[in-house]
Amino acid sequence: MLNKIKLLHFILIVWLIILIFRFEILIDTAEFLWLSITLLFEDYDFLSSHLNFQMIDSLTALLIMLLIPVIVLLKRFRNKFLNTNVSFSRYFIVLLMYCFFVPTLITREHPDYQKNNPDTKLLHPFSIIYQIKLKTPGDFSLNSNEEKFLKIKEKILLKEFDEKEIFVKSYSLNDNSYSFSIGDRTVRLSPESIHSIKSEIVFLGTDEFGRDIFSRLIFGARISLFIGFMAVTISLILGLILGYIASTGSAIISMIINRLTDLFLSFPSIFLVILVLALFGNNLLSVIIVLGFSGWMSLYKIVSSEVASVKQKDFFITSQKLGLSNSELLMKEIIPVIIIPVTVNLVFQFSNVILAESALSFLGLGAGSEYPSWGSMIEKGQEYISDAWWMIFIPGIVLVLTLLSFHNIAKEVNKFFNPKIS
Amino acid sequence: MTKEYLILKRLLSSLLILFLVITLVFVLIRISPGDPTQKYISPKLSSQLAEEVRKSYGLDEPITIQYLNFIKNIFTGDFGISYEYRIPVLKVILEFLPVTLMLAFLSITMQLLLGYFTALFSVRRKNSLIDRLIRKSSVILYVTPGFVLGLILVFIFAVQFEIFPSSGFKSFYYDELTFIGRIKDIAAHLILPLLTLSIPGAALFYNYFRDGIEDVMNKDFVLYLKANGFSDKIIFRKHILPNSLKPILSVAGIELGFLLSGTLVTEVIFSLPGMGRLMMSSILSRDFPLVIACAFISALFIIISNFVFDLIKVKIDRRIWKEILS
Repeated sequence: MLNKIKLLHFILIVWLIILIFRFEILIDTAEFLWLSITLLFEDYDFLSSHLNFQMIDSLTALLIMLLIPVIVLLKRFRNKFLNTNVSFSRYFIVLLMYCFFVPTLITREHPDYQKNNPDTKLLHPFSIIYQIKLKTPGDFSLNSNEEKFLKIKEKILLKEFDEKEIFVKSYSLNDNSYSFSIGDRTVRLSPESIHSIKSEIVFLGTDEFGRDIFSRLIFGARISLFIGFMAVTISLILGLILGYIASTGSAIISMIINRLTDLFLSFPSIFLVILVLALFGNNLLSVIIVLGFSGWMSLYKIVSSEVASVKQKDFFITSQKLGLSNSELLMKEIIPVIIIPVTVNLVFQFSNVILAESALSFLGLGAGSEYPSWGSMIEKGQEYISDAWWMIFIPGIVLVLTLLSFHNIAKEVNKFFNPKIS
Repeated sequence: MTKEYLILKRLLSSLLILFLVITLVFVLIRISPGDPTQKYISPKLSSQLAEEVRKSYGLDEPITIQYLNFIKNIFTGDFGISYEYRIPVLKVILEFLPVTLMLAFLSITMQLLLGYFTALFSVRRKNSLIDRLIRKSSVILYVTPGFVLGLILVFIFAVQFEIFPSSGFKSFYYDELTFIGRIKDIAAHLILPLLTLSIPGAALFYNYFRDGIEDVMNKDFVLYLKANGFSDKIIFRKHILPNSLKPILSVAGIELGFLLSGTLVTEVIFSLPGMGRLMMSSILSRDFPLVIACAFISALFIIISNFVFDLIKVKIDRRIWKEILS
């Protein structure tokens, strides 16, 4: 029974769960998309003034949610990847991918949302809080498309702050008025001014500013994976180009590059990374570039040795003698051979970059405080280690599971390509 | 090609690498924004005096002359005077080095011993429940980053049970203790950092030892020796172990180099005065002579430890010395 569950079933199950729980938001997003398209022709200036990353993010989330079942169902027979049996690492990576692509559908709280009540700081996991929503004075009429657009935008985008929402740990109803405490003072509100009160479970607790750890984890996954992809791409390009130059160029160039590689390998790369980031300032871009530049050495070694060995093989010499041009030789003879060890190395590289990024964030040299990051969450947790264990353990465990999954996947990829190595 | 010639060649290439490292660091810190003298100059000071401060640091000359002076000084063994501590850089490093040396050597021994004995245990009870448990958990421990492991250890042993102190290298009442008390005090402070440093490495060495031993055990010559009636102990000690050591020694050389060049994250968690934190703080305070000296020392350590472990490898297997030393 368990053997019959393939990866595609798991992907569809997660998709279905998200669809059921976030159906309303998806419908709203669809309407929002329709309104944006109509406004694109009616009132372009209005639309462009409201355009931001968050909006595009939720629109792409809708498109991805529409595309997932189509792709999975179309490719289900042919694709080897979708038809593999599930294991823990694959489950986890599928979940991470969902976090990467549709974080706004998984969590409905902005990662920087600070609840305006000191009581909601450092809440332990699974604690219950009440959300009191105040009435908005007078609904404005929804006549024009612009007004509808703004209304829906407010609904679907995650809010960084909302003064109409109060989060309290407990409240009581006496003398026909609701009373609750915010910090030291007690607030009384008449039922007329309250729109609704609902209870909420803080799934993984809150941090020292009252921010939800669960949504910070989800958005932190996105930053980690993004930095991982970009840095790996940079080191792939660097390694390929330098390796190809070293193995085909003149002897002097290859010697220089070899010495350079030795230099970088003989030196703790973390020191170089810290040196550059601390001297030139750290932000998202510099972290990506520096991590990309610190990882090309192993790729270079693989590429240069593989290309050198391919050039002595008979099939290569034959095609050379047949008169293939250099670019044809590269595309048809060299790349198909080197792609296997390079792929294996890339996956290892990827988990190294995620580890390095979180270590840098832990040291305060990461992508910056505007992005939630697992490393900086753990660093903050260090201060509250005696009061709030969940601030360290939850991001820590997620980080370990991520690294473990990528490590296992890299091993599997290696096994897939080189079955002889056990 | 004699052995001496190869060693000499290797020493020369190491010197070249050291030279390149300090040049690289020099270039990086000189093209970076930020002026180290800013910190020591009051804005009320006249610009003439400020220029004098810069001059006293040797920062007023053109960068090529600065570089030549710097290289000249290094060949005479003079790394300059730290801006921050106002004493020669090497003296500053000597103050921070003992912690790092102690941690590094204790940790590498612990990693190798832990890895070796768990691997032996695992090989003897192959495919038992406990072996499979160790195998699975070794992968998890290996991928666990130092800061997560360190904080979990602090939470368990320092916060919950209060067995070990959570930070620092010695207690504030250290000077009043007797000799044995002092050793106990330092040991109590070093246990958690040591565990943090050693557990991932031990998991790595466990895997290498286990794979190596299992691999060699299935070789034909072991079967031959067994057929000739050698005892298992002798076969293991004289044939299996030396043959499985080669990859372990290369990894150990790299690992020791990294440990000696400073274990930044662990030092930050436990606020130990080691090389890693010295480096970090010197970079952040733009203390250029100290940064370069730290880079030099850590690169030196990496090269030396790789070299020493390569020599050990040659000692064990004399056939392949050419390949190892080149």
